[in-house]
Amino acid sequence: MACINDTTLSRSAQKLLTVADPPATTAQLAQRAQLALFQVRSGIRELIAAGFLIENEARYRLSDAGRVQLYG
Amino acid sequence: MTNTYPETTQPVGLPRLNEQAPSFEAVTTHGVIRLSDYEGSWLLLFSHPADFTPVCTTEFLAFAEIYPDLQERGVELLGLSIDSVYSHIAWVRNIEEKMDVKIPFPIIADLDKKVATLYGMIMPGESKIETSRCVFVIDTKGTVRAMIYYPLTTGRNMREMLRLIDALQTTDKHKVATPANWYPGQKVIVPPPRTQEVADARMSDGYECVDWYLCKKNIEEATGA
Repeated sequence: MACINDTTLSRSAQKLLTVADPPATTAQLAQRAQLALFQVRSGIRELIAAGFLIENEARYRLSDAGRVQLYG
Repeated sequence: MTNTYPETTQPVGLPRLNEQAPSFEAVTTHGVIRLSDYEGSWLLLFSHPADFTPVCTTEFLAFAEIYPDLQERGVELLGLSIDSVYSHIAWVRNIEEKMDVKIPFPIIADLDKKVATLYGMIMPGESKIETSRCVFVIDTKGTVRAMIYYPLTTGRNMREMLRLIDALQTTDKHKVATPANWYPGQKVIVPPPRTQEVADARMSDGYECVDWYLCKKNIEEATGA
């Protein structure tokens, strides 16, 4: 365990955020972000836990917090 | 940062061929990854004894070299050792700095040995604190299709990794087996006939037969490609 946890989003997670508008499936996100499926699935979990992505019927969309994270 | 996995899917005993690979969730150099994240892809899960050690470094260079070839075959790579994620990060940065090779695949930081124990990667007769050089080939449905165990002293053969993947995928696609020392493009082995009638026909159907039970064919001939 580190003495302090880094909460910086990974580059691939940021990339996922940028392509999650409009909402998309895992496969669509992988195609848009040019990432492997395992990276997308792992990144989606990270982004949902951070409150930046919202799932609805297997499609993922930016949350308000995600929009702020992305565009300030 | 510890590794966890759902208790409901825990198998009893070590992985076995053609059984479901033990599921896990682990801290890696690419974030937290679950085995299920690889569903739909083949996965080559491998362990190495320790970061910043000579044989392991040669292996990582070699794994990085074949990574594009693996990706062409729909295979992802996932490394593992009983080191911290900070050690992994330092090591891959060192490899890139000193040897100009980027390590493109994630490495599990299995400090609590959970994944290593789940997969039987620790051989106490060799070392109680390091994982041996194990390889698990897991298919798109999460089934263990092949296992290889090498000792600490012996670096793995990357051509064999690719050959093994090619053989497994050829078997799946064409329902055939592959002979010793087989490489893609060479003849494959057809299943032994189950009836005398088929055995008789096999001898005159254009197969290359040593005898009725050992027949080979070209895949192209069989598929009409």
